[in-house]
Amino acid sequence: MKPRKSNAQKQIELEQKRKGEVSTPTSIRLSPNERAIIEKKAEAKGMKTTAYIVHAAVHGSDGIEPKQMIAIQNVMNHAVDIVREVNPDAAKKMESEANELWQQLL
Amino acid sequence: MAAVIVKRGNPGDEDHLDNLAEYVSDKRALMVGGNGVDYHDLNAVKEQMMKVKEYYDKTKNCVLVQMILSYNNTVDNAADACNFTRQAASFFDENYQTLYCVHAKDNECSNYHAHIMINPVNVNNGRMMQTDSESMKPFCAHFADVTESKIWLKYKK
Repeated sequence: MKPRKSNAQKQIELEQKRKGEVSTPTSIRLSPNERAIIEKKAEAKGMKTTAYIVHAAVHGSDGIEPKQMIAIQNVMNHAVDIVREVNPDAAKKMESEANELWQQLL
Repeated sequence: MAAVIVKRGNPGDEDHLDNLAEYVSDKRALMVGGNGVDYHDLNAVKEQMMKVKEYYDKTKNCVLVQMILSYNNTVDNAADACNFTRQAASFFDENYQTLYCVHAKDNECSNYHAHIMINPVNVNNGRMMQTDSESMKPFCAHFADVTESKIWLKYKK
């Protein structure tokens, strides 16, 4: 059974329809082997097959993913905590460099 | 016994994220921490959470999940409250960005408590976090292990 949509979700969808932002279906042809590979990769990522296909097509050639960015940020946080004690200016610079790296995520 | 209070009914806009970020890191905070965000810089926190939302095209969904971890009077010092909170929040590290803080006793009725803000967009696959009682069970079990006490799950608007 499909989960019931909340009023907020319904409102968002109505607003999207009004603005013409509703997603449209499309079909693609896949060999059984290609389908099996895609399904396996989607499962490994915890995504539905269609969501994975869209994700791979939109972000496939991107150099950096959120998970990697988050790992970098966590390392940076530890470093900033240590550096801030002895050199607050250097800590500030490290923070702004990490923020610049975030801009590459899209 | 400790409690997990899940706050529902977020207005769902970016201003809400701003307000909560400020609340989490105001002067009352004994400790501020987080996962995958620069918790030293509130503007950066907002931007970094929005970046992950934009990456997965989930900017129109629930902006934040907000939880309060409320400790009973057996947790009677800041160090324990901070340690428990850090361990509890680490449950989300694999999949979500978080920002959290620990507040001291506000008055005679209120004990140490922690606020956790979670970006509900999973950093690995873009799926939205669920906060119904069934989905919250693993976290409550983890929190029970951390505090070695029974956990009471509560929802609040």
